[in-house]
Amino acid sequence: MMRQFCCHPVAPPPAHIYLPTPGTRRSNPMDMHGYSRCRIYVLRSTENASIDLVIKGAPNEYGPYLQELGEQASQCDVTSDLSFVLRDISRYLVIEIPRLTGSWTIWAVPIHA
Amino acid sequence: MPEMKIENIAMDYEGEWNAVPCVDASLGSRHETNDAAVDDAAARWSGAFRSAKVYASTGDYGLAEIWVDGKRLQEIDLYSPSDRHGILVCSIDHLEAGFHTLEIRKSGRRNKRSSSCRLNLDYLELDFVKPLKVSYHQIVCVGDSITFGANVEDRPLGLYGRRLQGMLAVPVSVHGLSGASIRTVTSVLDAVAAPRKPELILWLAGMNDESPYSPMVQGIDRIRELMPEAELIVSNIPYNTFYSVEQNQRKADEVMQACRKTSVPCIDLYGLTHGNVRLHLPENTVHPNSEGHGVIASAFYREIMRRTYSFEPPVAPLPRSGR
Repeated sequence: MMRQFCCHPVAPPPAHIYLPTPGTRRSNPMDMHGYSRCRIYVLRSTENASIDLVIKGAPNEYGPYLQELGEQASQCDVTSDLSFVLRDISRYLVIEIPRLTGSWTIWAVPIHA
Repeated sequence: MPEMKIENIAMDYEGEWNAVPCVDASLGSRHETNDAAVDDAAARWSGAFRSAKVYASTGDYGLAEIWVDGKRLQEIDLYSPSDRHGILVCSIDHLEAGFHTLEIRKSGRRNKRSSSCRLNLDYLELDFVKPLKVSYHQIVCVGDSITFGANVEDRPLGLYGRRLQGMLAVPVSVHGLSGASIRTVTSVLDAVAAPRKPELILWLAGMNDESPYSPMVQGIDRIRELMPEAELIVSNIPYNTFYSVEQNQRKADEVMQACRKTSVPCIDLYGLTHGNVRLHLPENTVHPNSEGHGVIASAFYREIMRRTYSFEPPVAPLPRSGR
């Protein structure tokens, strides 16, 4: 008898989007709902743009926030689209932008284990 | 549950009241009645709370009556020999934790030393409790940099979404995209709103669109497609001096028109905040500060209460003085 494989659809992850501006260089806290990993997308919206970013985490919304583990939690002189995975993430993340030129869209998307 | 401030501009009014600029008043203005010796005006706030404080100016004013749930509680005298501002004139404690309607009514009377029966109102402080009829488990706020809180010093605590979370005791997930048009917000609803399965979506829209009507209709359609069970309340933009009067009016009107077209409730935040230049300090562009977010939270809360507890605002349009 042929074995039936059932593929249960997995609920889509609750994503966060942050559009940094010169006046808003720190995102609002992003609730990762206990997911252990997330993918960060850093998407350039204008030509000749560059950005530095630091991802920090905390166990509750109001912090204090400490830099997340791994080299990728800090990115310098990004000039084109970039995507990477953070592991062992905190419940809450914020993204800080020490340097910014041009327009960028940053996604933080939890990943199912 | 938190004690939170309700500005006078966020309340309902009956009879003749005018917004009067006053540098010493909260958010730079208070509401005042006329002088007439008749009981022809009332200010009202409905919500779930267990205590209330009423703040007003005192001076050449008359006697006010405080009513709770249709019962006269006490009389307060707003007269003082000299003008004083931000005075706690009434404190109501030990209410049953639940839904109440607080009214400040003009009595049409005054004490012998006063020459006027007029009233004024600055703000309320209410100790909110969870409204039992509000059964939402998740609320999502979407919008642009206003929803993000671009001019809010105490982010995330001061955001209107976070304030509502405290007022309603319901989790509120806030998603403000700085500089985003309505189309851009619409394009991410599937990723930021739908997965959270909200029963209520609050959308403050229109600041980054010259002509918001069509994108707003499409955005509302998209919400209904993605989250057919979710309720939606929209608000137009708050007053600002960054754009011209014509630009602002178009942004505000077209969001309301889109909501009428699609039968979605829409808060006229632009009308509510019209003329108030204190909302945007210190940035002084289009972004309300923390106090401004308090007004936005009050406006959404009032609409949620109206829908949940089925009461109507006063029918008569309110006189409004600009600055």
